[in-house]
Amino acid sequence: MKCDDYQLFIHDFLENELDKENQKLLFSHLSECENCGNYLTTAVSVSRVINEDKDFFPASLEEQIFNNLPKEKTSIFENFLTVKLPAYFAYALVAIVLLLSFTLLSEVNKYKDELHQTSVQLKEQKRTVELLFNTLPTVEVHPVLHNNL
Amino acid sequence: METKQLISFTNIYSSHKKPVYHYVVKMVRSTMTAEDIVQNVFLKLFEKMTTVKNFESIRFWLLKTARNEVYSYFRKAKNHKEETLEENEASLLDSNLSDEIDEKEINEIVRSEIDLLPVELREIFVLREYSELSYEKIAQMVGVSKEIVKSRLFSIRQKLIKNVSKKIGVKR
Repeated sequence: MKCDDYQLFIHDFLENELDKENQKLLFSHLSECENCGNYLTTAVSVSRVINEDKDFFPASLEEQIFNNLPKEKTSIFENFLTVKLPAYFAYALVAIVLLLSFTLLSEVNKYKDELHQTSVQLKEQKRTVELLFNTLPTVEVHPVLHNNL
Repeated sequence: METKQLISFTNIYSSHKKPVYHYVVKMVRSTMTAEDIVQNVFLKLFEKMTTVKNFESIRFWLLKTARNEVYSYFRKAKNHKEETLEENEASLLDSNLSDEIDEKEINEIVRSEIDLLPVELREIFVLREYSELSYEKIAQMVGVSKEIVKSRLFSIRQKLIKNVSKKIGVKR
């Protein structure tokens, strides 16, 4: 076997893909060949640099990616709640709500008075009916027997 | 965006962000351009999240999308080779100023030598070493057989190690 074959073994070994039999052959060769020993030392250095570099990822890029993701689609109701309106629009809305409240309150009071009047009238009528009923003469009812035994 | 969709996206993103980023940055050799490309790739993934069915081959899909973006960038910036080589030469000149060599310098030499590889060879090397793609997937991506990928990768590694050894040897 040539040095090239052993150098291929070195890469397989660094990738954990070299079987035990070939590992023995490689280590036996490395003990004799200075050139391949140096090759292994440099290969390990290269591998170390790559492993160090592989672990890096810029934090700013991560932030950039997540900030640029499409935003959630909101419903019309949510849009209405989040929309910015001018201040006078809000004041007008409050005034309308107050006006409606007062109108409704006065209407309710009006119906309440009407209901009370109707109730008083009904009570009066009931009392009149009772008085009329009491003034009527009492009626006695006698049974008539036809079977005189 | 639905919570379920966002969770799924975050999981995929966390698992594959580094392999995709390092592939792109090693290919374009510019951090700013790489960041733009990586962002586009992940935004494309987010748009397609609802249609993704095969989560096992998601890394391949991400790298394939990144590759399309990288080559599109190459087509737009026709003079990319000249620009980046100048940068590399400058970094190598800087590293030659001192006679002593430490770990930091070895790291710089290794990075410079990787960057100096021709783009088609660098791509295979980066896909294997940084993106941890299988030989089959690399072959599928670059459009050659698995055996060619293996033999090319070995040649690249040999060349890289010999160049790095030479630089370190000269310094020592």
